[in-house]
Amino acid sequence: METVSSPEEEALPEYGLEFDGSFRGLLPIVLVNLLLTIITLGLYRFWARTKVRKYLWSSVRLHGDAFEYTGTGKELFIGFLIVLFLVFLPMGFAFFQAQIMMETPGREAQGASLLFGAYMLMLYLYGVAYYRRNRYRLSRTRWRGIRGKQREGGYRYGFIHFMLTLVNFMLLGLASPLISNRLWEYESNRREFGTGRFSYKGRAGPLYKPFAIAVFLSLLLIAATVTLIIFVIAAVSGGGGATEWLQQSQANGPKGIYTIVAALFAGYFLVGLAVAAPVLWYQVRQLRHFWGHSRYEGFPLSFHGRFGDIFRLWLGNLGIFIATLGLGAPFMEMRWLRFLVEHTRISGFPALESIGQAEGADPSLGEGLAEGFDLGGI
Amino acid sequence: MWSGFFFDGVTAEAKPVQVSLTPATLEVSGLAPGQPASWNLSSLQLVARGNARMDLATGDHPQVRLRVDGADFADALKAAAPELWRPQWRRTGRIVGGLLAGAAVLVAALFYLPRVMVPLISASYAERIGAGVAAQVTTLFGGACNMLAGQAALEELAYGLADEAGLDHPIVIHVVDSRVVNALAAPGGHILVFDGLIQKANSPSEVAGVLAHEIGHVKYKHSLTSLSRSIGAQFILTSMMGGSFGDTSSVLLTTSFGRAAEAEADETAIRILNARGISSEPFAQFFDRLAKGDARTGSDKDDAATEQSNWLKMGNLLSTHPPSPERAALVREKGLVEGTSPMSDSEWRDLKAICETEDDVF
Ligand SMILES: [Zn+2]
Repeated sequence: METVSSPEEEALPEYGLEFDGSFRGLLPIVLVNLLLTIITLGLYRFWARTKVRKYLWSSVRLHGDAFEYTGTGKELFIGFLIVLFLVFLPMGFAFFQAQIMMETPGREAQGASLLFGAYMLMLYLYGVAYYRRNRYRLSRTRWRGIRGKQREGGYRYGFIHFMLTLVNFMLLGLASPLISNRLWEYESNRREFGTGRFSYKGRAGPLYKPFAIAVFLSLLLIAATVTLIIFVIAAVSGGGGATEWLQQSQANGPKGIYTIVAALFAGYFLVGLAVAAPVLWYQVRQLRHFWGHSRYEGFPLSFHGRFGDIFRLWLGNLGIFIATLGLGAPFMEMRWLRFLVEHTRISGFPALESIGQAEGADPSLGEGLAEGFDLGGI
Repeated sequence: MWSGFFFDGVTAEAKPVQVSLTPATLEVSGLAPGQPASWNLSSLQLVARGNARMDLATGDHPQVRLRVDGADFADALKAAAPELWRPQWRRTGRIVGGLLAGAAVLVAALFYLPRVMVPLISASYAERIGAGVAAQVTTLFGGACNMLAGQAALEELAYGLADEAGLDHPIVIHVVDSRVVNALAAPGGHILVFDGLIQKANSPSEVAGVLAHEIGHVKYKHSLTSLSRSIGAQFILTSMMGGSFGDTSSVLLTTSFGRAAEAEADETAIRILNARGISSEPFAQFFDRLAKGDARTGSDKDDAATEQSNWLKMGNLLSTHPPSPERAALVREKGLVEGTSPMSDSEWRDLKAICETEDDVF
């Protein structure tokens, strides 16, 4: 029922976001960042990231006016230091302690439960880190001087994420659509821009058909790829099969071992390539579902990206990653942002004078937790 | 005069304004009273540059924004306030300098850390750490050897040597079923002797020399120092580069305790050997042979290559205890030339056979 829109909504004009960032514009920033990050043994990365974000945010326009990123490297750095000493140092000690206890006769069980507890805490903190990262970014995003806001600090989100992940684990991942829908709903309904609120009223049900198709296709493609690999091995080893090929290669000494490693790597790569298509297809369906049932101040949002778009994006990013050995990550992020921005629209728009400045104080700290978890993204 | 839009930071409404430039300010006309009409050029911030438009902010009024249209505005502003376009090298330099200074402080702290940490670690906790490390290393290198007769012979020798060192806690001897030629001291008095070393030794005095050396490490807690230094280094590296914490127990296998610590252990070893009336000459000869073997194992691909060659290299005595002519010379200078054998012939045979069955006795 929720997909039906009223006639007056259909008559509303559609507004989109524009993106005018370019490789050429980003390149000097990335090069200088790279140099300074190397000089400082990696410590400059917080400022580097900030500069990239400033560029990317300013490349997005709505009604002709640019978005703005107001975060600073210092905030990210201090947030990271705090988390490093308050969370990751004690956690590192707990893991060390658990390791020792598990090797001490009579204390193995204690050690194992400490290790288990530490992993559970990590899982919980992962959700908190994700939420806080998004909250920080939104609070540092301005448009026409008005800033975004994510309500709550993420501890409750972390708990929900934790419980749902455990349930999903027990259900072998079958609850994935349900869980991502619930988490998106939770986050969306606490998202604001200025005094305007986002809301989400989507159900997980419609996601299950594409999810089932994607899982089925993935399994099929994995099976096909593995069969192909087995045939290739058989052909290479003269009909002998994998065991014989392994023996032959091992008999070749170190050179043969390298062959095995390279072949394994190629195999993983092929399987990854095969699974990418259904996964991306599902991802784009999910994006359309999520944004398609989201609203800003009651005005419906929509996402119009298609499988072809996301697949080209992914292939290009893979190419950039390989060609730059991962150093071109900001370019990959820019392509992602462009994809998201260019395909998101809103039907109608609230009266601009009705959107006031967000109330309350900004979160003062950066995304320390997310940094520790290596949560990537822009 | 350019036309543009003013955003007051209270609502998202755009207010049409006229913008002009003076040598020191940007003037906005058409504003309500109380709104900032005159912006210092030195306070300007460039938010974004688009096609024929420019988004500006001012540090004096953080909520307020201005968008100016017109392709020539950028040129006019560039002429009036060229520093807006200049990269802020001075600021970047301060950040980089600060970060490098911070990194230097961290590294200095890293070297000072063990001196603070090690005395704080209780003997029983060190013992537990050592037991964990010993168990992990033993598993990693192919298990424990525990033929009772050999173990008894080795322990009798080691305990006698340890008595001489005046330790305040007992030692524990582990024999590892591996061809690696090495021995190492884990925290809390745990000493690991690899079977490769026992097989390579020509006499009980040689083994006694190596044991006495490891007991020297135990006496001065070199292992704990090294461990806390390595963990600190890992922590600092992780925080600098990003990434996750790794395994800490293998650290002992790859890092040497340092020149000063080795000299300290050597001196203790000679003192113990002398007190026991054991000749130091075989110990010195062991160094000689290792130094020769150093050149040999580098290129040779004999039996060593087949057995986890990486671990062999890492676990080799050569890397953890760099042999040097000076060390052999010191042993010769201060140690006894003649001495009694610290073991009977039958005990020596038992020790050589310590790994001959793989049954777990315990
Ligand atoms: Zn040593």
